[in-house]
Amino acid sequence: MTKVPPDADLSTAVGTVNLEQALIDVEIANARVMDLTARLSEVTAELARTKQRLGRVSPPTQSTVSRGVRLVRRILGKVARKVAGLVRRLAA
Amino acid sequence: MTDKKRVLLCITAYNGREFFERTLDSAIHIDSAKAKVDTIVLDDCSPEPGFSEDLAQLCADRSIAYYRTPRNLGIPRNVNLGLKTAATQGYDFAIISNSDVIYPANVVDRLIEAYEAGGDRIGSVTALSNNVSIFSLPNGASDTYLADQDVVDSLSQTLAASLGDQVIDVPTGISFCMLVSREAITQVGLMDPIFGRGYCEEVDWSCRSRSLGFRACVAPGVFVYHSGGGSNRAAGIVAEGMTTVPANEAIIDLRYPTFRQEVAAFEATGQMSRIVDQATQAIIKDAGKRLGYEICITSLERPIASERPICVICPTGTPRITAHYLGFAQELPSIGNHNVMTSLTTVFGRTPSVVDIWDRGPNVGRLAELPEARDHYVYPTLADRH
Repeated sequence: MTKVPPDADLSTAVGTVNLEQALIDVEIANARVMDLTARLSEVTAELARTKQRLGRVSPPTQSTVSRGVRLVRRILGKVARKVAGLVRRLAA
Repeated sequence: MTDKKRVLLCITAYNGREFFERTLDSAIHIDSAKAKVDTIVLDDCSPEPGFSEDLAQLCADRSIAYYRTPRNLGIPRNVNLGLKTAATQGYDFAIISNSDVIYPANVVDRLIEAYEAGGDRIGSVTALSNNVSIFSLPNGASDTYLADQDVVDSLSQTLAASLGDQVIDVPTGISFCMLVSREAITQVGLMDPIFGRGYCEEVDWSCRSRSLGFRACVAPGVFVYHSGGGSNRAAGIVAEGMTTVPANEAIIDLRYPTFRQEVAAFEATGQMSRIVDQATQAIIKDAGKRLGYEICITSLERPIASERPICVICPTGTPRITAHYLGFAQELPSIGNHNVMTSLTTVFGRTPSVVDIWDRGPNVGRLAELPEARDHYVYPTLADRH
């Protein structure tokens, strides 16, 4: 830390402090930029890996969805017919 | 005889021609028995043509030190010049302050007394004001009534007498007028330049100081007028209609995820609202004792403007009294079935100077018989009502 004589004029003292602190602030800012750049690189690589993994798991196609819907409808139709038969027997 | 403390009052500046002279006059008006106070204005390269030259002259006329940064630094780095100068020049305390304030004469002594009486490990002490976030005394017309040196002196003396040198531990200090010890500056460090042009840097500093075991406190026994946001709004740091900088709040949320909960928990303790009630009541009571008071009996909202307290009483229903003074408003303690006059005489120690009767009702009672009573009651004619 720069030594400023204790009885120095306040404005002069602040000027000295300003110069020293500006250099410190630049050092801190540089260190932060280096740290953030390293983190950004790391996160970007991670993002690329995740996208790649995601690409391997193919999303369901339109035809797969349609087949599923038809299957569910068929099952529901069967259940409905059985229930109707049961109701008729109970009514007789 | 103990040595006087050394205090560096750092007033940060960025334009603000409309209030600076008042602030500097207020700074040289500070009277301290406990400290030798040096004041410096840190002009952050104000861009208004001619402003810096005029400010330098205003400072020279008042023997106040002045420093203009060669480039604009932003509030945090500008404040840091003051903090670091205080630490390197052997000051016991730095007071970091905005430029749109009026200090009471007792500001330094009151802040130091609160610091000394508060016990161990106090890192910062913030003054009470009319406009400092959650540490404000609500006031409906502060710029009209409070922006005056005599008023600020009087309010601060009243608070000193009624609330003494107590301190309240708070989640953060506010650097509109905040005393910081050299020990805290040395150990906690300076404001973080990450906050750019400013806002929230003192929250970050307070959180860092608290994590090192320092306490952030508010001293309710000292009142500093704060216009609020004046220079920041002019500089475009805070957008019109906003009270903060969202990007800087996001940094606080990232670094201190529990900070907002801490503030909510502090508010839930009710400490601040009790202080606000006590302080407002003390201000109104003291003024009523010194200057007299008026009674206004009305069921309608009427403009309240007076140099002394006005107690508004609704003529019907439970006799509640709301006292108004210099933009402060406070319901006086429940008077139950007591006679209104007896209650007010107990509070203010004297009878009212004027009783204005605008409306009739059972609560008027014997007030109408007082020699001070002025009966304004006239049933409005059809023409008055339309």
